[in-house]
Amino acid sequence: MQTSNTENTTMALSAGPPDDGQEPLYFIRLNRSEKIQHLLLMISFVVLVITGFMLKLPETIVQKIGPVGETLFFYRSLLHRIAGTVMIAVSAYHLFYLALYEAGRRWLVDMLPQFKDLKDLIQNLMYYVKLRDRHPEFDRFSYMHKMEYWALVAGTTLMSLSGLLLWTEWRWSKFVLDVAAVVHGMEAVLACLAIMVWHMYEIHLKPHKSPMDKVWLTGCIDEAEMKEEHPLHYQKIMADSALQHIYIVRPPR
Amino acid sequence: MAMRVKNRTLKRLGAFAIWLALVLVAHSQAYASDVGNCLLCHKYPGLSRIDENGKYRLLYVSEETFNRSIHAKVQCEGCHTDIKKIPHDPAKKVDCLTQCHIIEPTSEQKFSHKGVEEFLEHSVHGRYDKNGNLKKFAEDLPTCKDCHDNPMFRPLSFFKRVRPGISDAALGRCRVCHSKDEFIYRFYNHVTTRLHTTRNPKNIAEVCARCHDNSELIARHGLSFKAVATYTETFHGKSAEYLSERVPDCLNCHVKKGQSPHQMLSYKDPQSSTYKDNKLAVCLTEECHPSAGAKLADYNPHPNFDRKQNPRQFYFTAFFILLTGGTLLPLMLVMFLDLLRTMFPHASLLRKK
Repeated sequence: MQTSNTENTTMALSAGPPDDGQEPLYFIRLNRSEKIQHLLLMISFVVLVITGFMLKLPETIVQKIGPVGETLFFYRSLLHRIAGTVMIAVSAYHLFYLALYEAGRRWLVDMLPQFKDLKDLIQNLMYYVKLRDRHPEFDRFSYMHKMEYWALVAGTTLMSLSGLLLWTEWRWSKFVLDVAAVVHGMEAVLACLAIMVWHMYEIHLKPHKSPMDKVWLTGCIDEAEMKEEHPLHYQKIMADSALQHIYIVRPPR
Repeated sequence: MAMRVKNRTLKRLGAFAIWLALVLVAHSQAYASDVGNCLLCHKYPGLSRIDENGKYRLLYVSEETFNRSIHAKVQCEGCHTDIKKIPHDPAKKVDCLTQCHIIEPTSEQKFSHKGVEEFLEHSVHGRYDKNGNLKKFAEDLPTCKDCHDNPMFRPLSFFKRVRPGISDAALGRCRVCHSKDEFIYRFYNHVTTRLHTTRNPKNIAEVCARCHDNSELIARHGLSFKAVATYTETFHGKSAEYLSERVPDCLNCHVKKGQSPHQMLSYKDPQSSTYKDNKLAVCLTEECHPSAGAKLADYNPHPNFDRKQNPRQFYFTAFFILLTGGTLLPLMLVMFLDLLRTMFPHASLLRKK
């Protein structure tokens, strides 16, 4: 049954416009701006995690560093603020990008949760426990992508706000600071775990992605992967020449 | 029989000879403060006994260490006043308020710590309340030796920058007028040790923690939290843990500047430095946060995130723990299922039916 299902998909897909010649097709998942945004976010995130969780190191370990520790922790606090500023700037740029760029607006529209996502989630779970033979077909962003993206948006908002409050602590009341300190610390744990567990699995550990999904560097995936992971988007692109212009790249000869 | 007597006499003679030799050797090494020659016996590292309560007592006195302590010039008999003869009976506990043999140079009277008693009795640690009645559980309240041991000199160096240690440059300036090195070192140590605390903030916190982190004592005296454990949660406490000397310890906030640390008052006392109207002044000192705003007084130097005292933090923390667990555990389950499905793509519950 599974085989026939795959055949059906393939047949449906081949109904799209014929590609010229034997050239392999590549589909853009992240454009240049998005790649740079991701890169800056990634670097600032890693720096923030390291410099932030340094505060949670047991004192006995830090004592072993010796007198360098004080200098180290001075730069820790400086770096944390620099990385925080970078992350906030990238997030602010991202909002700007979503609103003012054609590609950004497309991103936002494709990222909006729909009823289909809930259906996909349920169907995917059924697929996992083998109550279905095929996983649901995803559009440009699957429900997982949307969950991770919106979790990131919420998390970054919380972290930025609470971080800025803590940074300007002399302005705020005890109530605000108490809450900000708890939120900043706990949301950091949540974000860090989410990245270490979820992102790590999706990008590095998943059998056909391991050792690393290179899309964050190349920005594109090949036709086979596109058909497997984003069949609905693939069909849309193949049926629309305007979309082909946006999403299809041909490798330089 | 005669043989036996002879043997015993010989043994006694031998023992006496050894004792005599020890006395002579020991005497030649004894410091000025050991006039009574106590180190004759107490210099032996193994000198110890099990006392009547079955407690192991080490009676060894390290001469080298003692000579570096603040009390090095005080004779043993100055504090151990009950010892009049050698060998002596089990000694009584030292009373710090006794008059010792040192002459206090400004008054030229015999020196004593007696004055401290009054400060202590009027402080929150005093054993009597305002009406002169013995407080409840007064036996828990600290006396001298609950906080103090014989402290070591902790000189301060001012050459180019302030740090613990001896400044050779300063010693050089002393030598311009004073020739006796022993005096120079002692005077330098005596003065500069007192220019800062004899303990660093971490050690001071440890002293207070002996009682103020003891759950039993906290409950019995109606205190609201572990003072040092909560202090350690703050930047002050963290830096203190890192052996920083630039952060406030317990005494910096709980003792009014310029007063005896023994005069510690309850935060409910309007005279206290930690009284709600006086708190800000503690933070705004020149050394700490001179330009800070009035809101700094809201700062909680003893954050304790339990439900009773800080419900906000407690519920926010609980919410995030639930959120984190509630997100990650199902996520990990989904990942596990995804992995299984990828590894065994052809298996199906449907097909088996």
